[in-house]
Amino acid sequence: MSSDTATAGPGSPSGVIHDIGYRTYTGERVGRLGIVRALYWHSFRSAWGLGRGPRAKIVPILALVIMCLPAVANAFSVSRTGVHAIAYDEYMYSFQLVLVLYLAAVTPELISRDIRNRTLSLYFSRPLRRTDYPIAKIGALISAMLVLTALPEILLYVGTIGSLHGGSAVWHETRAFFPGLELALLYSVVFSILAALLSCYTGRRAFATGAVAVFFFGTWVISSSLVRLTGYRPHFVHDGGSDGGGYFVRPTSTGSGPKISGLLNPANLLEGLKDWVVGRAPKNSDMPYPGSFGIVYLAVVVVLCALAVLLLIRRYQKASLL
Amino acid sequence: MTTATTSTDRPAVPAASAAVIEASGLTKRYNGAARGAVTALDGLTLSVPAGVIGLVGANGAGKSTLIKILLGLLAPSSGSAAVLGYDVTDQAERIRTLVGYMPEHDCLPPDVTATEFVTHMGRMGGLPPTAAKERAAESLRHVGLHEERYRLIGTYSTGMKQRVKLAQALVGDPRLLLLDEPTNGLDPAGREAMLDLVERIGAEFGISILVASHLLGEIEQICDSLVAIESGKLLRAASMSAFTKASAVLAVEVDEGAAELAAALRGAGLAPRRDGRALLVRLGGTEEESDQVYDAIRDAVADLGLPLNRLERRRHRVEELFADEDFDELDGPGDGADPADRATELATEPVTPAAAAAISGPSTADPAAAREPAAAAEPATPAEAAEAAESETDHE
Repeated sequence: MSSDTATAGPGSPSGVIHDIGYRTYTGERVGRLGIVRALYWHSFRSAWGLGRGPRAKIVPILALVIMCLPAVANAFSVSRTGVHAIAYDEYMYSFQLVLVLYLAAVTPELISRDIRNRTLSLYFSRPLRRTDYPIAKIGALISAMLVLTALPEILLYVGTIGSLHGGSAVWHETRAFFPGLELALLYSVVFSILAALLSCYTGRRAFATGAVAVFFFGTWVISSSLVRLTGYRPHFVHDGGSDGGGYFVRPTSTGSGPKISGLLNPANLLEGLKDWVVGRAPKNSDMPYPGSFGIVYLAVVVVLCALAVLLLIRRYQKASLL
Repeated sequence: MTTATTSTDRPAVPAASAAVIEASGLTKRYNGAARGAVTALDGLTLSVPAGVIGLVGANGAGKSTLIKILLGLLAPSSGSAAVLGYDVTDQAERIRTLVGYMPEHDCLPPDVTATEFVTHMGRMGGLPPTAAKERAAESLRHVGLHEERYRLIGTYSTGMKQRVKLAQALVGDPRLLLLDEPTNGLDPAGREAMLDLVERIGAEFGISILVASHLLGEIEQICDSLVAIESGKLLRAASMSAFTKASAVLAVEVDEGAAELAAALRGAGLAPRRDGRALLVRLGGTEEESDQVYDAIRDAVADLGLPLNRLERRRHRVEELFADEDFDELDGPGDGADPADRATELATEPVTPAAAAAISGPSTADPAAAREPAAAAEPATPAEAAEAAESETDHE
């Protein structure tokens, strides 16, 4: 078998195309990692509608605009009145609706599409391993979500410090900003993994969208209702000893009912985890301060994510997908 | 993240193995809880050389399972297989860089253009961005998609979609193509075009091709060798050229006196077989033997003074491949066994002519049959089996 061109010579590239014979490829080939990276990048772009039709860009752009509006409003608010429109660590919880809408639109494209079109056998007949595919997809989804979550936080920060005077004020703002970024990352990771898992069992785009939306909204309604029904009432007692950043602390811990109910929804779960980590709950919080129960919140988040990733990977081991 | 870059040379195929595909004792069982255990492949042992290889078998015979095992997508239950000299369990990744796969089922997204899709698939095969673009354009052109390649795949006809599927298999410059039912869903003209394309890729591009099909007559035209499986078992692996050369038959048609001619030919040491109005006489494997057969027929016809209507060399129908022992095995000497031996072999062979006929599929969808009307009416295999059984008893 000749390693050179099998038939006729190179010919002119744009001339008589029919005369170019088959040419073998002797150039560089990227290895498995390079392919995973290419798949990651392709999926990340798809998640923002890049490389797709104009209609695919509507939801991502709309979601980003909505997410950023409060940050822009905050910049005006701070410059005019000096009042913060929204806190860094309340941003994600308050706008979880937008995050869920974005995921409901994007995960079917990233996950269900290849199942529906039965393209997976083409991926798996290439050097990719079965685990590489879901990992690249989850990675792309998390990164895409991170744009949606971190960009508003950054805008919020930039818009605020623009109106601040004095190093201590900026320092104070920066200290509040970083937990917000961490929270953006946490929301991106947990929400993406769960949405990916929900989408990987169906090839129907509508079903995947429905599954993601129903899961996040449904559990939120159930969880939040149960939190109230089991006796939690938001009440505000000023905590004089705190840093005075607008935070209030629950002096008495509520019963375990509301805390357990809070585990039932990803957003409430992350809210409870955040409260436990920072050691306080914001005023008007929909979630009770978990206190020592917070370790359960942490455990549930970790186990949930690990389990979801495991299930996703197992899903792609199935021969029936080919 | 570091990008592991493999050698820039064309991946070398180990020189030690001339066989493109090798399997020994390859077995695949599915342990379905609901449907019980299903044996998809049962002790398959074969060795096929480079070229266009036909893989024939009825639906459910295990063709797709075999292809998936060869790609390393399914693990064999027992036995081993190697593709281009690489083991399917240990070196599947290596195999998959060297092999292009075209699945039987639809696998194309409707909402992208063929160029975008094939480029993406090229990248998924390990090509850098620019190379993927160039090769996508080239392979789409090779399969005959020109300006259409900028249209969404959803607007394509079945034939065009099959071409895109072939192009994505070709984009990574494979050493071996695994095509699972490439003519699936195509009309006769489309089948013809697809087969021409496959043949051209095999002949001009220097790529070995395994074509799986349930229609024997269809791929018979383009194959260098043929592997037939039934219920996961190997029926036969043979080279087509050996088969067509060694087992070509001569059809002799006389207006009258066919019985006398048959008797005379038997007297001359031949084994004529009736087929409608014609007598079929097997030509030998070598030139000399063929000449002797021609001479014997000429002499017999002349001696009897019969009105000779037709004397033509007829290409063997593919179904006879399974009932006929008189051609070379791929691995093994398999040289001209004498008729008695052949008969014994045939009688002990588990392969039944009925099975062979089942495999060959509906003859209406068989372009080979359509092109050879003379050979169309030839369901003579049961007769041959009877004859074989008879001669076996004679032998004893």
